[in-house]
Amino acid sequence: MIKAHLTYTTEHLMALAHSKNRRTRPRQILFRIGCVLYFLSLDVVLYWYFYELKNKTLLWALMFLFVVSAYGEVKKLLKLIHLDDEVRKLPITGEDRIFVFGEDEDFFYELISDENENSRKNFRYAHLHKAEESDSYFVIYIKPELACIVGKKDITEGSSQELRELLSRKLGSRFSVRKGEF
Amino acid sequence: MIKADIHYGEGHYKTAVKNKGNPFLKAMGYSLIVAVGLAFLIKLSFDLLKYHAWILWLYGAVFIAVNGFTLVRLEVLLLGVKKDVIKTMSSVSYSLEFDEEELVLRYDTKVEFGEKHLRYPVVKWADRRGEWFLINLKDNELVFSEKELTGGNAEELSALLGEKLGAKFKYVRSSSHDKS
Repeated sequence: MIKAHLTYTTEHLMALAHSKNRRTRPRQILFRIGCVLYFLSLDVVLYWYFYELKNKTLLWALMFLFVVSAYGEVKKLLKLIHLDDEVRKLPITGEDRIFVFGEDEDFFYELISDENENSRKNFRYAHLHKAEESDSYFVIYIKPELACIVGKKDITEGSSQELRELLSRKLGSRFSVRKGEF
Repeated sequence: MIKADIHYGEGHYKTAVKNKGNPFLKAMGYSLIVAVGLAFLIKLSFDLLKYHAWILWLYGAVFIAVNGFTLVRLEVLLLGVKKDVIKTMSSVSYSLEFDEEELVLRYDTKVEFGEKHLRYPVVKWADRRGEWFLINLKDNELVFSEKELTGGNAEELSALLGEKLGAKFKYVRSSSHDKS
């Protein structure tokens, strides 16, 4: 049996954010830069060709629309670039969590307790989305948008080696190991 | 003890979505913005046809392509979300028990099953709308009809929620979903 006892911290959330965005982040950043350039170039070219018009109301309106669109894209781009700052803004709820991974069961469970909650959630291995391991964390995706994060230093019974073998056995190709951090 | 056995279906989905604001209205709002932008572009292109019409038509085509594609994606996404929510909700069964100190939630889905004991301060807000009850927890929203109560009745539940939640509980006496 492998047990981990933890309270989520900003580092846990950071690991999750980087794991989740690792593959798509460069593509998303490039796409957003493309969008900003597209809207700004529309503005520049529109003005370049039509600045001689006597009545420029429609031209200004159209240019304003493109500037607003570019501003929206810049905001999204900054959020992607400053991902760590965005994660630091997230609230930390502070519940006490225990994850228990049994050898023989077809599920693992999470015990959550704080002054207002006592819960046991059981997750079936067969229907988990995927799991990833880095040098410091295991991130187990229940669904693409929902995950459990277990730090290697949070393991109180068993070892990270045992958890790696267990996840590999239960999840097969849905489990992957990454050298370094997410 | 007040109890409810919940099996999600389309009625639950409609009640939950109605509470959040219809996502299709957002798509319609987006369509309106795109239409206004295009109207500007077309008017401008007619005004300036004698100058560099081909540039405007090129802009128009790119604008339509980009926004049209986004719009179609948005609507497909919304339709997909609706189907997915109905499918997911239909496969979920919940059992709820309300006692003096806490509410006990037992659930079983394809991926996850478990039991939660939640004290009333965890509840963000709760509404009774006609026959429907909505209870918003920190990571979950429960929707059920008074017909799904298997112990106690709707009046007892309203009284309990009113007592435990105070101003966080609202009782809206009519709901359009009563008819469905």
